[in-house]
This record gives sequence, structure tokens and C-alpha cells, in this order.
Amino acid sequence: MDIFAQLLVNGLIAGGTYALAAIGYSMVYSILKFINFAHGSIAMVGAYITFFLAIQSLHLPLPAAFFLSMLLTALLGISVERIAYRPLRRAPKLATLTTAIAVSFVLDAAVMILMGADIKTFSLPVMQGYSIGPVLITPVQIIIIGASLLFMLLLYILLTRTKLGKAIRAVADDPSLAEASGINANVVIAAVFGIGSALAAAAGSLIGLDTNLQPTMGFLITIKAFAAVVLGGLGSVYGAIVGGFIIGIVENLGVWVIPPVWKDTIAYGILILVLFVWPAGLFGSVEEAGVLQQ
Amino acid sequence: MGHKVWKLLVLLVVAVLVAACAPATPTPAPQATQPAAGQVCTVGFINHLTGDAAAYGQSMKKGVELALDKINANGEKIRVIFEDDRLSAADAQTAFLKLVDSDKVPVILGSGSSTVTLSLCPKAEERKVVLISSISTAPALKQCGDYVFSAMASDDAQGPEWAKVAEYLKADEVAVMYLNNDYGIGVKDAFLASYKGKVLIAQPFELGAKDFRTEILKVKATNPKVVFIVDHVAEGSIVIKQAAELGMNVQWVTDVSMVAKEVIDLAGAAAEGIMGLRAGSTQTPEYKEFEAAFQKKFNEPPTIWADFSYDTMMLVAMAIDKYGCNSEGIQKGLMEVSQSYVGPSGPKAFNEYGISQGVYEWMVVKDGKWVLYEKK
Amino acid sequence: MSEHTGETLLEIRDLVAGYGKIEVLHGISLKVQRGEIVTLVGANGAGKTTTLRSIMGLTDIRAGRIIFDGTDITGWSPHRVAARGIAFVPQERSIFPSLTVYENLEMGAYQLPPGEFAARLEAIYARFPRLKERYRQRAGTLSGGERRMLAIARGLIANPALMLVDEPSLGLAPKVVEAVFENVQGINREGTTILLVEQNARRALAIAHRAYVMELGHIRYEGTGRQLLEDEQVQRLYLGGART
Repeated sequence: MDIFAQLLVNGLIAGGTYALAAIGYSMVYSILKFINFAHGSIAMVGAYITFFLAIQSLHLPLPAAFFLSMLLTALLGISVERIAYRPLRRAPKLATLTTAIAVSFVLDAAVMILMGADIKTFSLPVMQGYSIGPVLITPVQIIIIGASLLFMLLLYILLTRTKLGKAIRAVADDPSLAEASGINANVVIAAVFGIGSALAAAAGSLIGLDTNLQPTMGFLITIKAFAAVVLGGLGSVYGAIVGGFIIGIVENLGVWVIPPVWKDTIAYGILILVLFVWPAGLFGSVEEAGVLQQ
Repeated sequence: MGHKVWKLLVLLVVAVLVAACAPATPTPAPQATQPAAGQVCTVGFINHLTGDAAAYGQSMKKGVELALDKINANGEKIRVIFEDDRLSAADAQTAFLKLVDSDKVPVILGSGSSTVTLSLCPKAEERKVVLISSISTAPALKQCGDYVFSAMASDDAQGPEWAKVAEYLKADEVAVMYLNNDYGIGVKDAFLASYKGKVLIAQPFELGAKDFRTEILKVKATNPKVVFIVDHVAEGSIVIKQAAELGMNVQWVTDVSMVAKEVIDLAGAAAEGIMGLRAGSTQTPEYKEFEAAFQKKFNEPPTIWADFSYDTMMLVAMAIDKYGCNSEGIQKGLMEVSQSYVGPSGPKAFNEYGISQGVYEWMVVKDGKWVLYEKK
Repeated sequence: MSEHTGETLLEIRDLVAGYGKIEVLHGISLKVQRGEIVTLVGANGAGKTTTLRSIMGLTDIRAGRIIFDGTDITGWSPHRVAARGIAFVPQERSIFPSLTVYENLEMGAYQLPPGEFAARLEAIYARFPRLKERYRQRAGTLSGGERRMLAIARGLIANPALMLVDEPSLGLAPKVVEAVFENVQGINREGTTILLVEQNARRALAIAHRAYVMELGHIRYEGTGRQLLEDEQVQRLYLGGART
């Protein structure tokens, strides 16, 4: 039973990072009906910016580096949208998907050239976790879970209590109607990319703090986030969050009984299962599912 | 108008950036034929220069470069074309074909990981190109054929050495954690065959993964005092770190891949006290001479396996000297010159399978550095 | 019928427009005077909806001009057109289904200075008490008639000078249709100019000051509401056998 509790907590740690990464993914999908395959690479860039600011050059205190990285990565996300995606708004979906993949290649390669291909860490002191009941958890891990929950709460407040948040939901519902109501959809879309990218940076930085940094880490983040979004239901941001936690928990519990070579398969397996049984995902809508089939 | 121009611009920028980002490898003008002995001989090098195992590839590149300084001291005799396999068999194949078809090399130094080297074996045999790895140790290499060599003793030897460590530590029950690839499985099997005590659990884990907490908990649940782990530095350092966070206090004993400074950099204080095997010996005069030269050229102590790749390059140079810049000659020459060669990584005599024998040292992490373990 | 000053609020000149490569309007011209209700009638595919959407900036305009209150707004992006004082009540997908009634109205008033919202909301609730009752309900769960009401309210809340209303009676029960047309007239009496598109020609012509009949992307007939209602051709083509 103790082990189970520890596995659960470990699942929340991994799940928290997946959920954070999935938010931006899901929001961009809701707004533009487009799967941004570059999202994981953006998370990776965010992690490296935090590393650069805190360890490599300016030696800023970690929290400052963390938030500054979120800001800079938000700007990166907005620029990517403006330069790579907006010109293709009316092009066939395949063109935008291909461009997203190209953007991810460019970002991965750029980081590899600028920062080197070797593995980097934040070199936080390694210590045994605090005992909370039967569970051991380190301060960084507590922060990961806490930060995930905090950002999700802030997201909820944004979407339900602020004008921008409601405008985001309106554009997600119906971009033309939103425009006709006086909402500048391009500004809202830029905001969504900014927020999503900032959260991706947070997710990447937290993963980097928990494990290490490699220029290739973006791909895995993209896959997990994608699985979370589909599991939770396309079009539902809260679904994506739940999806992220579910995947994290199932992975950690699953590897207890299944050989770890199947660990990533768990994420993919959930994806396939969901698409067959519930094409709409847990909280999604059937119309959104129809889009996925195209 | 606006849309089309933007699209073109984006594609152009992407194309330029992708081209610029391709790893730049020095490529001399391709020669139609290799010149006769006495002129410059071009050889190939395939290893993991980028990607997860870049630490190893870059280190071996340094060893080759140091050897080249000595070889070319009186005029250029050997030129090396460095290719990156990114730890991928597919990329290694591409690099191999390029080196053999375009650059017409008679011999290729590579790769590092056994899995990649094994994938190149059939091609090397088929095209009659000598393939010599500095460090691949999977027992399957024995079946590779006459054109394939390895400068490091097979894991058949590493396993029994581990068993000796277990005996020395008086551990009658141990746990084993192993990387789920040819190399990891090879060492694990060799160990299990030699070890006489009880194996509490043999837990595999995956290359490229980041989160090993569940695997660690499974091992922890068996309450081991000693855990043998065979791994690359990327994953192994995470395992050790996460195990410490999860309250696992054991004596770690690693394989040769982990006796590298990267493990200490990445695992921090958790690495203190771990033991590991080191192939070769740091106490010989040959090694000390190499160490000094390396320090002078690269401003740091020798990185992992640079001594092996140094010896590999030297052996190839000696074979070319004797029999010329062609595959049959090099193949014959390697067998001959290795018999009496002793370099910084030890004596290199190739046995009938083209694999060197080897000795191991025991190392331990003390005060943040790998040092020789003092046996009592 | 309210007074109209004869001042032209909206003028469309020789408009050629459509969607991408498909041209729907082949050069139409019309005028809407301030204070009027102008109706566009015609068969399916005549281009009535495209006309409204073109004014709003939601189509691809090849040629022609759209002039609103003295300003050339041809090809302006929709949110600019909305800011200028034109509201659009589309035929379908006319509300934000995942937002509440209240939030829908908030979005309608997006460009309104914050101080004015409260007053406008009161006015809307006064005209549409049902919406006040259901202000926290998700718009997607409203009945057809309530949605139509919300759509009109969403357009109205920003106090537009001109409202474009597309097929307000579509799919509604006769009694509800009554209420809708009453509302349209009421809104017009309070000063909003209306450009109305309707398949229910009889009703629409009855409340219109002036009207145009469209066919296959062209304007065929033009006249006052009464004139067209009583015209034999129009009766035969568009009113005979049509829904009442």
C-alpha cells in the first residue's frame, strides 16, 4: 500500500508536467483547429533559457530565471505564430502541420548548436526526499506538483473571469462570430500562443529541474502532450489537464507490472484505445472528433 | 500576394537553417582511388558525436585526434573523416555507405555502442572494409567475421569481473539493473552466468527515458545492499539520483560505461561512493604518458575511452605503414601488429575473433572524482 | 413606420464578391437610408447572406465599394466593421454555445467602454426578460427561439447604427416568429437601421420600408415593401406557395 502511494505521487509529478505541456497544445487546437507539433520543442527551448539564465550566464536566482524564461518563450511562441503559421491560415491543414514539424526541427537544431548536444543539469543538491506519510518527495517535486496546480488555477481564472479569457473561449467557439462581435481574433490567437508557450516553458523547466536537459527532449514532451489532449478530448482544456495526470499515473503504476520497454507504449496505447472507443475523448465533443478524422 | 510571399520566405528560412544545422563534418575532396603507400591514407570514423551518447563519441574523437598528432608529426600520413551516427543504426548505415562509396576508405573506426557496431558488421564483411571499434563489447561481435575488430575485451569478461567484485564485497545476494539493449543484456547475462549468489531482481530500463522511479521502487522493494547497474551516463546518472531521492541507500557497482566524469556532474552528491569497473589500467607508464599528452592538448584529464580510441588509431596507422592503404593489408596488419602492442589502454593482442583481451581496474567515486579503489 | 431622414447610411456599389475562387455576387448595388428597415428577399443561393457577410468583411471582395456613414469600409476586417457601428446576427451559429447568456452579451459589447455596459445590459434585459432569467445558462442549451433572441440581443447591446439580420425566422414556430418580427420592428422604432434577409418573404416585405429582390447574385427588383408585396411577378415567383 505504501508503494502504491509512492507510485501515485510519482505519477502526479510526471502527470503535472504533462498536463502543463498539454494546456498550450489544447488551447492552440481549440482556437485554430491545428495541432502544433512544435509545442514540445518550445517547451525544450524554455527549459534551456531557464538554464542559460540561471546557470550558464547571468546566474539569476532560479525563480527569476524560471519566470523570465516563461516570458521570453511566450514571445517566441507569438513570433512563431506570426512568422510560420499565420501566413498559412487559409492553406490546407497539411501545410501547417508540415510547417510545425519544420519549426520543431529548426528549434531543436538551433538549441543543439548554441548550447551543445551534451546533457546539462541544474545541479541542484541531491537529497533524500522528505517523508510525508509513506511517501518520499523532494522539494523540487513538491514545487512541480504545486506549480502545475497553481498554473491550472490561474488558467481557470483567466478563462472564466477575465475579458481576454472569455474572448479566447468565444474565438474557440466561432472565430467569425467573434470577429463580427468586435473581437480582434489575431490578437486573441497571439495571446493564446503566448500563454501556451509560457506554460510549455514552465513544463520544460520543471522537467529539466527534475531530470536533466537534452536538445532532444522536446519530442517526448510533444507526444505525451498530444496523448493527453486526445485523451481528455479535443477542445477541452480541462480535459487535457486531466488527461496529462491520467497518463502520468498510469505510466508509473503500469511499469510496476509491465516491462518498462512498454512504458511509452502505455501513452500510445491509451491514445489508440480512446480513439476507437471514445473518439471524442473524455470531455470532448463529437464535432471535434470529426475534425480529427479529416 | 502577401500569403505566397510569406510562404516562400518561411520555406527559404527553414531550408537555410536546416542546412546550416547539419552537423559540419570536415570532408576533403573525394578521391577516386586511394594513393599508394607513402602518401596520405584517408580513413573513416563513425561514432555518436551528437545525441544522447555524445559524451562517448566526442571523447573517442579526442583520442583519435591525439593519436593523429603523433602519427602525422613528420608529415601527413593519415587523414580521418569524422561521421556522426547519432546512436542510430540507420544513420550509421548511411555514414558507412558514404565513407565507402564516396570517400573510398579501406578502414573505418567505429562505432561505440555495440548495437550500432553490430548493425555495421554485415556491411563491413560484404564490402570487405575493415571495421574496428574502440569499445564495442557485445559477445555477438565474435560472430561478425574477419573484417571486424574490437579493441576492448568482450562483456564475457566484464560479467565475471563483476562477480569478483560481488565476492570481494561479500554480497551473497544482489540486485541488477540493466539497460535494455544488446550491451546491457550482454553484460547482465555474463554476470548472471558467473555470479554464484542470489539475484534478487534483474530490472531492465529503457534507453532515452527520463523517469525511472517505478523501476527503482521495484528494486528497492527487494531490499538489496548491493546493486549492479549497467548503463549509459545519461540514464544511469538519473537512476542514481532518483534512487537517492527515493531513499535507496545501497552500494552501487557500475559497468565500464559509467566510469566517466559526466556521472558525477549529473548525479551530484548521490554519486559519492559508487564503485565501477574500468577497462585497462591507469597505472602503467604508457597510460601516464598518454594522460600527460591529453592534458596538454585538451586541458583536462583524459575523458572516458579516449585511451581506447587512441590505441585503435595507432594500431590502424601501424597496419597501414606495414601493408599499405588497402583493406586486405590493414586486416592482415592489425592482427600482426596488435600482438606486441601495448598502449595506454593496455595490451591489445587480438584473439582469433579480432577482439582484444583486457584487464579491469576497480574504481570508486571519492570527493567527487573517480579514483582507484583501494582493495584491502 | 419610423421617420427616415432620407440620409443614406449604407451604400453598396457594383459589388463583386464570393468565397475564394467562387464568385457569388456579380455586381450588386443597393442603398439603406438611416432609420429604415430594408429587406432582401430571394430564393436560396441568391446571394442574400453573402451580401450581409460582405458588408461585415467576412467574404472575399473582388470589386465594388461598400460605404457606411460616409466611410469606405470595403474589405475591412470584421472587428473594425463592428467597431464602426454595424452588428451582424447570422442565420446559424449565431451565438457562442459554450459561453453563458451573460457572457455572450459581454462579447457583444466587447468594444463598448466599460462604463456603458451596465446601462446597455439593463436595456437588453428590459426588451428580452427571458434572457435575464437565464443569464447564467450555457447558450448552447437554449431553445431555438431563445437562441435567436440572444443572437439579436448580442447584436443590439453595442448600440449599433445598423443591424444586419439574416433569416431571423428560420426554423422557428409561428408564434415565435411573430415575436421576432415584433422585436425587429421595435428595435427599428428605437432608432436602429435594419437590413434584413428573409426567406419568409411575405412577412418581411410587410414590415419593410423598402426591399430588393435578389436572384443568382444580381438585384432583380427594387421598390417599397408594399409595392413588391403587391407586384404580380414577385407574387408568382416568390410569394406563391411560399411559407406565410
